[in-house]
Amino acid sequence: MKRFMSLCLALMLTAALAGCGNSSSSNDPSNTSAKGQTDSPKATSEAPVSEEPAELNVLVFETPNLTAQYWDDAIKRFTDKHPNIKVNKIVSPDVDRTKYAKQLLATGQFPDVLMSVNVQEFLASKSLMAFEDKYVSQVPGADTVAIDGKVYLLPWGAQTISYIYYNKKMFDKAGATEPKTWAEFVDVVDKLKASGQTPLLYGGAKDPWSTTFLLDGIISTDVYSKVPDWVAKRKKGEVKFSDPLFKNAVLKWKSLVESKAFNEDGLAIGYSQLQDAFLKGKGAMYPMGSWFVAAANAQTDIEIGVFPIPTDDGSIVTPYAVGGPASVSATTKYPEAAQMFATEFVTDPATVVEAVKSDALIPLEGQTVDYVYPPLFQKVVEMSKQGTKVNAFGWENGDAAMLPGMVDEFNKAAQNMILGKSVDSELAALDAKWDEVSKRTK
Amino acid sequence: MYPDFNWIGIDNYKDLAKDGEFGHAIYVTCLIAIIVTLVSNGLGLLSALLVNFKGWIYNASRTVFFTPQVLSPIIVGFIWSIILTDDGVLNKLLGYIGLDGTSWLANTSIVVYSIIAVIVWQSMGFCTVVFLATLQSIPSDLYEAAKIDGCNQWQKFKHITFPLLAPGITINTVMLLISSFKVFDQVVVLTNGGPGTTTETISLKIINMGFNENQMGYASSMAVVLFLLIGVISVVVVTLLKRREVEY
Repeated sequence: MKRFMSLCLALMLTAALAGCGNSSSSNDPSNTSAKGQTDSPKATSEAPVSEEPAELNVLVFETPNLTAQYWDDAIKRFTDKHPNIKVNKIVSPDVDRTKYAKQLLATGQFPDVLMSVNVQEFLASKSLMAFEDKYVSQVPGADTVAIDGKVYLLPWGAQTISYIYYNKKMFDKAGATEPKTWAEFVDVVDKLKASGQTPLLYGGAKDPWSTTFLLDGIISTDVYSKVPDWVAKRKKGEVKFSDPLFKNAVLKWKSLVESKAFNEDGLAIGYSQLQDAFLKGKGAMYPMGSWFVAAANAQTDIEIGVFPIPTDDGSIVTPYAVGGPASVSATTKYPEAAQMFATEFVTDPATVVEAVKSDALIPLEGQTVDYVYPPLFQKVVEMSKQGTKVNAFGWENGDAAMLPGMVDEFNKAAQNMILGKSVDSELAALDAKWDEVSKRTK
Repeated sequence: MYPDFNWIGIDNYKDLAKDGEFGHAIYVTCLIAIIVTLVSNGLGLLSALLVNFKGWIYNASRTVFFTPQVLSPIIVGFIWSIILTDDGVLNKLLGYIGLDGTSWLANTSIVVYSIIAVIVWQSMGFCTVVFLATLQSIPSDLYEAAKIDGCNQWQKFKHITFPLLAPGITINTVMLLISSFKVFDQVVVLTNGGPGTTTETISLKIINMGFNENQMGYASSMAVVLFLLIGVISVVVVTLLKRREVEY
């Protein structure tokens, strides 16, 4: 009995001590930098030559746009070309592949290649490999997503987050036209309300990230256009969420919330229900990422227009996020094969065209895509070339990415503001949270 | 998960004691656990008494009551997320009978109870089956003796059925308390802890802290607290309920 009790005590202590550590310097730039992931001994010298037999585990995610068939076809094109390389597809249980990748990492099952994960979240654990120059040079725009000069993700296109998509018929009914300035935008909102229509749509429920598309856009245009390196400055403590510049941007959004410009059921509907609501004409304006163009093109129920987030002076500012799918594990047994797969995936014309078609990717400079763009898509592509490009708030990549978990915290804060909490208290809470996360991860 | 870590003693536990959001998660979890346990037991007993007869209609009813239990909590959450939206089935049905619905998933004073209702709907079947098994193990001669003594239905229930149901109540209470304290799936699918942090439970907080904020140590300390909470409550509940178990 005594031995049994001792064993129980030992187990209890082990469990309790599990909470007595913290991750060291997970977001300390100095630690995530130069040493980086190329320190992995397997990264170069031990690599087998490219056509030696290899078996790669590839983490993918399936969406209505990027279906199982899409990934299977892309993998087959690669394996047909490289018969010695076997590719096992691992599917993320939901679209949050970053969280799933972390679970795989924690359980020692980190895949060799990962599609569209948030690179910044894996730097502290040195889990990703920096691509070698011979692969980086093959991919247009790869240098734009470098972190401390190293490329951990190969891009294949860009997205604008957010533009405002609108229902032309509802605008006509209200006698509204595309606004350019913030004052005109508020006027459009008033006209839509006066005509008995819901001006703006947002979502929530299980998808809190769908709450903030307009707010993300306003912060991008108002804050990032003036302080492009806002996140880097926040990391150094030089700016705060509660500073007047940031606060004023949030107040613009809050004034729309208070004037009941949004749908009443926003917090109760998820992303797919939100999109459905716009396509069924339940709201006139839908602030959203450019991937919406794919769904807009696939329907014929409503006629859709698009305009950028209106600014105070009417200047065009485009919140722009360069993104891509392919990252490689630092501990892969087959670094050459994994990098080759990643590179060929983002440069294979058929794979890229399918992604452009289904996920509405905007081509990067130097990238040519053999695709006839539908009119709305073409307009988005042209708009993205106008005005000033800034990072899309909440969707930043590379060096400009926020601390882990802060985007979720921001979404929760936005929901709290919708529920009536004050802008001041929520921004102060975000500052406190940022400092806490920063301190805990040092 | 991380190659390097610092030994920080019990700092995480000290921080937890001051963490208001974690305190809120404990409150939400306890609220869910207590109400789910009480209501599921009550409704499970009622449904078990209703179907504790012979005949195809009663067998079919047992199947109906048990069906939600075999469904995945994710699927249950998804189905109810459609039912509970503002223009969902529930509000439409309420509209037909002249009642005003509400925003079941966005109204902060109601949303926790919406989640509780979904969990009760799913776990009631389990209680029904356990109570049914316990009911059928009660010797019929006790009821015959009570009949001879002139007992009415209520007296039979109060003095024979309910006392002899004690083992079933113990099993149901402990199982439901443990599963409710770990509640995660339904919350993720219905609200993902929102609106804001209104429905964040301990399990959800642990997952978000570990896999969103990359704070594994802090998340582990929360998991230890959850473990202790479940352990202590289970021991106390089992001890108390075992005392009232009787044998005739």
